[in-house]
Amino acid sequence: MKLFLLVLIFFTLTACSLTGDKRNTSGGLSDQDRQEIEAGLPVETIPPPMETQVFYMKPIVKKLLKKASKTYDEKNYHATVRLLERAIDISPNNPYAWQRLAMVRLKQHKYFQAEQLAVKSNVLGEANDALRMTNWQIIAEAKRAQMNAPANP
Amino acid sequence: MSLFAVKNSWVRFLLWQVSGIFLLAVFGLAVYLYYLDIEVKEKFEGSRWEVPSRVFARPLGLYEGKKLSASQLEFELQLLRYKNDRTHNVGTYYRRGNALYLRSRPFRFPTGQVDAKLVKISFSKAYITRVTDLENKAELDYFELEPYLIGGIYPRIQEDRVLVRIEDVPPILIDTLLAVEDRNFYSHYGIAPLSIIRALIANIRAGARVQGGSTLTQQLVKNFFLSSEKTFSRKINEALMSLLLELRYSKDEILQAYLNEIYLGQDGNRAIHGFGLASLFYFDQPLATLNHGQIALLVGLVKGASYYNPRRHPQRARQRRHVVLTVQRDADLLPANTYRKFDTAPLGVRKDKPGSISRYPAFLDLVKRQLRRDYSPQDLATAGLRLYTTLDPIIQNAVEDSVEKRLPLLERKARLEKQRLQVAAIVTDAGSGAVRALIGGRDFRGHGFNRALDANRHVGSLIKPAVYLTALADPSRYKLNTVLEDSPITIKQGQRKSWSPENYDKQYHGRVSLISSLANSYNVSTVRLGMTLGLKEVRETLKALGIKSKIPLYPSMLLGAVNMSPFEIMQMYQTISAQGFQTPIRAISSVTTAQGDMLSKYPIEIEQTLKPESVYLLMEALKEVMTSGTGRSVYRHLGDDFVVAGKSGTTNAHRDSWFAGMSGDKVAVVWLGADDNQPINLTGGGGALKIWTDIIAKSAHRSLDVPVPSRIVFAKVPVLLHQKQKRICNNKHVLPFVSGYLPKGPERLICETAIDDEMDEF
Repeated sequence: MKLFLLVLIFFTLTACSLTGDKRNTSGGLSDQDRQEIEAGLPVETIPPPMETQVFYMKPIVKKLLKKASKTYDEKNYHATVRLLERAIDISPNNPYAWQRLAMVRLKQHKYFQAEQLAVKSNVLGEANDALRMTNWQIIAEAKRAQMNAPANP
Repeated sequence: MSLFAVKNSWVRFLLWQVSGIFLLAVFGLAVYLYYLDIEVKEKFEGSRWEVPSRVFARPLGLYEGKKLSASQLEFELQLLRYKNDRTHNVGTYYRRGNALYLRSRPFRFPTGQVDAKLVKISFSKAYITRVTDLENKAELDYFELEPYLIGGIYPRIQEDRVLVRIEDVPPILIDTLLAVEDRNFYSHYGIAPLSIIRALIANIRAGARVQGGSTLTQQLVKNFFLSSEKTFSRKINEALMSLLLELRYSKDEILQAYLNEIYLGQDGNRAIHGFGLASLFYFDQPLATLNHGQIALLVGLVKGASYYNPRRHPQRARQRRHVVLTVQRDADLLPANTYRKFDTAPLGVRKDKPGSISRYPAFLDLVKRQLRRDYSPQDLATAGLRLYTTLDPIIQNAVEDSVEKRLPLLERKARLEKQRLQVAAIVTDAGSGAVRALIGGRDFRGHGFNRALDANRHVGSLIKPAVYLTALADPSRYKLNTVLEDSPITIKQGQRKSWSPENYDKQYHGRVSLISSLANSYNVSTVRLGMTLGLKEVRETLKALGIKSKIPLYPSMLLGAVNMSPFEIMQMYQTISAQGFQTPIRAISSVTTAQGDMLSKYPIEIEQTLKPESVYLLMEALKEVMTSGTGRSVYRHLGDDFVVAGKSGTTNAHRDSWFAGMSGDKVAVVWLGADDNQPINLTGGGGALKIWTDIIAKSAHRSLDVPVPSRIVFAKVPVLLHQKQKRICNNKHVLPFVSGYLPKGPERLICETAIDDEMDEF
């Protein structure tokens, strides 16, 4: 009888382990999780992955932006655009290049593009408050100009 | 009346008659001269020539940190016909150790003239470590090689020229030409009867035509206006028009016109006019770089370009060159000690003729179409414009290479007959939308059907990102770990037959997460999702992605039963890669006149049409396609640390195989199919993906690093994942969410709920 019970328990345990319950492949829900679920609380956020937080600017892009600043100050906007487009070709997610392009377009009275380029710079440079502040100023000025001058160049 | 009086009246009558006739003749001549004068003026000052537009590839920029191997640079230099030697002459290069030395050619870029430079480019593995100007001993931040001339847009009458200004022509060429053809050019008035006699005597003495009898002005008139028939009236016209030309224009103007007009050869349908083009046609070198021997050969062709054709009649060409070299020597234009060197040298004519037809006709086709908005076909073909495009010959070559190698292998794999598979591929820059490579068929040099632009094919699963993007734009209802239902569905379609979509593997997968459904390209869950969202809503998303084709509102649209070209698909994926900003695909960067004056620029222009957080979430799913879904074979070739995202597409009965995707700096679309729309037995992952992987491996330099929008947060959440045909529930999978829309309450029990429900059903 004892033997029979042991065998029965053994087979029962075996059957349970084979029912395909693969819920907990990387740890099950803790008691705290269950309490939060019952309370209707959302999951906690975690810091973004490391690789999304690193911003690296290639030396060539730094040099191009520096030259672009110089030509911008000299009001040589064609040269500035050429340098910034080159920077974007090399580094398409560089928010500074897009921002500078927005500034040039503003000077050239191309307000719709100035606004769009500044918005793009904001999307690329979400973590940079100073950059975003400048972009918002560009956007505001571009919107104002568009309201005053309906025919966009 | 006396006899004398009678005779007098007859003489007077006759005199009157003769005077009248004379005045009439003079009047007639004056009218005729006036008419000739108008013709001369119109031809000379109007559109003198139909000069085709020159189309250039992008100039190759060299800078520290650029991913470019010495071999790739060498490829570009060979394309530009640089000679491999250590002379340091213009247009030469050589390699030594980890460096490549070159002397660039001067070039008039859209931004201005840049002189030749002697430059050293240092490499470490596949990267440039330094660019040095050797003459000024200075490091260069950025150095551009002159761009490769990829072709031209030609006028109907198929004349071709490279216009030269007189000041750009080597003096030795002018001196030789005048010595052989018209010694007294600067002193006669268009015709020179004495020259005819002098030339006749000189030619008899030499036993060969060493001097021409016609002046250069007469030759120019003959080329411009008249036929080559040797009639008296034609000779008279020639003389009169020469005089008029000399009256109206300066000697230098006439000489310049001559240098650009003279017929110097034939290339199939294309007539070679002018020394500028002849220099490229025969020697593949700019005019300014020719030596005495080469100049002698070209001047010799003036007498008869067909008769002395150096490719077809090398012996005649050599003899003619000898005559001209002798004239050079006798006129002290050639030092005596070099005469023998040039006389015995090989002709040096390149064997393969640089074709008038572009090496890249499919890309050129795109250029012409994009310019149609701003330029008439007439202007493009005749105004001598300089078109600067975005094409990257290195990437184009990589694409062609991959296609050439892969197509036969894929045909064998799919048990297709040879040459059955057709292909289209496009590669662009992720940021700017600049087209870097484009092929319209497996015959890269052919001018046939351009499949990249014109093949309208069903796109299959390539359309699914639009469905999922529509869902993710509503974060209150859909997140990446939202559970979808992949179970049988039948859709009634009014009068039409009901539709019951199936999955590729003919199975139903039950409950699946949104991210897994897209990664594995499940059809049924996609259709269920799309029908819940609404077909109109999905169509709006496609429009926001840049699709302009008409999208029918049938449920089958959700699985890509919609015709689009590879170019349109590229626009869609370009918008995804650009964080939801529509960035028009462009093939041209600027257009200038022949003299270099800027006419048009084609800058980067963008428009935000989608929320960046929705696009970010979609990208997460498209990355999952490559790590665990239908694109997972890619990492065997790219390496795990080079992140890419994309989507495969396979249409009904395997008629089309698609892949579209992106790295950090490139977007590429590949299509495979048969022109008769018959099955090709290849899936997107099994066919187009192979070529796509090769392209990205050779042309992309940046791993995908999608900037995180401010409204995106991350959390560890339960997710139902389908990987390698197994379903697992990962309770702590890191996923992005829109802030304020994190899973809560029962949403956190996804795995338990899903599996418990299925167990209950079972």
